[in-house]
Amino acid sequence: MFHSINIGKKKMTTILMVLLFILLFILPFLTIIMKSFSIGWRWPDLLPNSYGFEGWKVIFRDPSLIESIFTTIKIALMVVGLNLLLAIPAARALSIYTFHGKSLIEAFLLSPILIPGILLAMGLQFTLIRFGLADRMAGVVLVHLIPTLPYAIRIMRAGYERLGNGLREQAIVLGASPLIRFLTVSLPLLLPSIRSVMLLTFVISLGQYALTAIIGGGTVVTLPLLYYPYFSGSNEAVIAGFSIIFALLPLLFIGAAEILLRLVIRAVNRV
Amino acid sequence: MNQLLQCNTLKKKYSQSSILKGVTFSLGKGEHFTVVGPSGCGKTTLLRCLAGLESIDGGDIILNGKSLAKVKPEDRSVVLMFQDALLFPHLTVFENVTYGLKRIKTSKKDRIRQAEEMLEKVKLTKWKNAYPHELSGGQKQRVSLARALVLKPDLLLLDEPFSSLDATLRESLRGEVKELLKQENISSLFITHDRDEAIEMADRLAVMNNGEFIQMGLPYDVVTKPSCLESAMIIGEGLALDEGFIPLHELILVKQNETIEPNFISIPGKITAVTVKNNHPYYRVSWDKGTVLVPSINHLHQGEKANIKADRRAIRKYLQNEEHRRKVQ
Repeated sequence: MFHSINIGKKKMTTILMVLLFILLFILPFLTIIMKSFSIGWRWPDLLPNSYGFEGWKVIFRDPSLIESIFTTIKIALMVVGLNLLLAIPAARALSIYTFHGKSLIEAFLLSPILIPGILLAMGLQFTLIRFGLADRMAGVVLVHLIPTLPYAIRIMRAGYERLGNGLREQAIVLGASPLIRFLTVSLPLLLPSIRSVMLLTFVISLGQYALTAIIGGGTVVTLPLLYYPYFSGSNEAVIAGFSIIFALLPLLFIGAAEILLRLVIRAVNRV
Repeated sequence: MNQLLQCNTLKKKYSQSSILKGVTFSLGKGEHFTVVGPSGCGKTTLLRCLAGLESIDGGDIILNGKSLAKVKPEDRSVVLMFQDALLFPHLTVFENVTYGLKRIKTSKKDRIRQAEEMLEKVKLTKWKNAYPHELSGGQKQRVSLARALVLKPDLLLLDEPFSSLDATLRESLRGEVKELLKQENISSLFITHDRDEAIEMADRLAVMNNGEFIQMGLPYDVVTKPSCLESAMIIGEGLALDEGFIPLHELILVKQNETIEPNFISIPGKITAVTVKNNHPYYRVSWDKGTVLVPSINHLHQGEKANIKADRRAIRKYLQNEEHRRKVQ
């Protein structure tokens, strides 16, 4: 009898957890989707009065939307690429070598998290203007490194520390050159870290408003810059539509990146 | 025997301390050379220098008549087998074995054929599609060995590859590995701190202490005629005294109150453990300078005080340190 009560309790907990999950994660998403297709959905109505494509029409009628999506993706891809390019060797060096002033360099690499990014951007703007990078995409990409690179290095470093040095040395004595070692050993085994870095830096870059506005000076228009003014408008369906686009971009990106990474790994690791 | 490897006054320093203090030795083709020494004596560093994982600070390594000093580790025909199997966890057993072959651009057909042959030799054919986490410790070391041997390197370096395995498995693998190395005609340099393993695996044996070889020779000679006190303590089977070495078969353990004849020496000690060796009771006796395993005709107990007795004429004098060292180098 106690047994059946125990099972009953366990089942109840599972059902409660599932319901909680639906309530917290799925319901808000469904609400947003519904909202984007609604026309006039006001409190205290449980469901919208009527449905239509008005919100989406407004979004797609905005002439700069497609361009800004491309700009956003381009910037985010470059930010992800640069992050990987800089974080992988930095994390590798920090995890493998011991040298004088290592802790100083570590602190320096992580400092952007400790200082508000906007403060750095203000100062950096002068430098970027001097180098002719202000109001240009390259400048925006560079400034997006401030809130992303410290995290990227942290994540990759943890990955390298978990990986250890043994497999790398084993690959060396079996005749693998540095590039082959990276492709056949480090890349597949660091995949969880690389995946986290890609997703995190992509999402952070996607969500930047202030840094893009300061350095981009209004000439580099990304999705958040376009999205923001709509908040002052009263059409909530438009905001819901924008939110969906925002949420879909990282998902599409990580899907494409995953396929690409797996193809590369499979190609180098065939028998 | 044709000479394969020649190491000349190999030196290695870490910060200020010398790890290798001018190690010199040579190795013939097809020879199995073993280095035995206590932990921290520089054995692993020696192997890492030969494999190219560490740079050398002095001396030269010559393999097949060519200096290796400036050859990258991945381009040396030297494979190192580590203490752990270090299989690539994301690759199957078969893919692990073909890993090195792919790097030396063997054709796909040959890769598959050679890997299959090698897996057959290490009796792991039916595990070829398994992943490393599905294998036992001994199987992992076998795959690691197959992965190294399939490359047919000029020299195989083995860094205590059995130390993580249990005693029975270790003994059976030792024999298997030696057999395989002979079959494939691959020269090997094996390092260990286990004296039984060292003696069994060696055609020739070197004793290493404090970054240098202190004795080198045939296993039987080294074990029964240690050249100095350190060597006797590391590898000698018997009692290492300051004035000389007494082989184990000359020693006998007697009760504390037993009278000792004038031409015999007696060393006081305490029995710390009783064990069985070759079906006879043996007593581990701790004395002033260490412990030794000795037989006795008396029935003795753990914790009892006793004397180790030996005929004075059985003491074998050590060779003069300096003179012998010059000979070793």
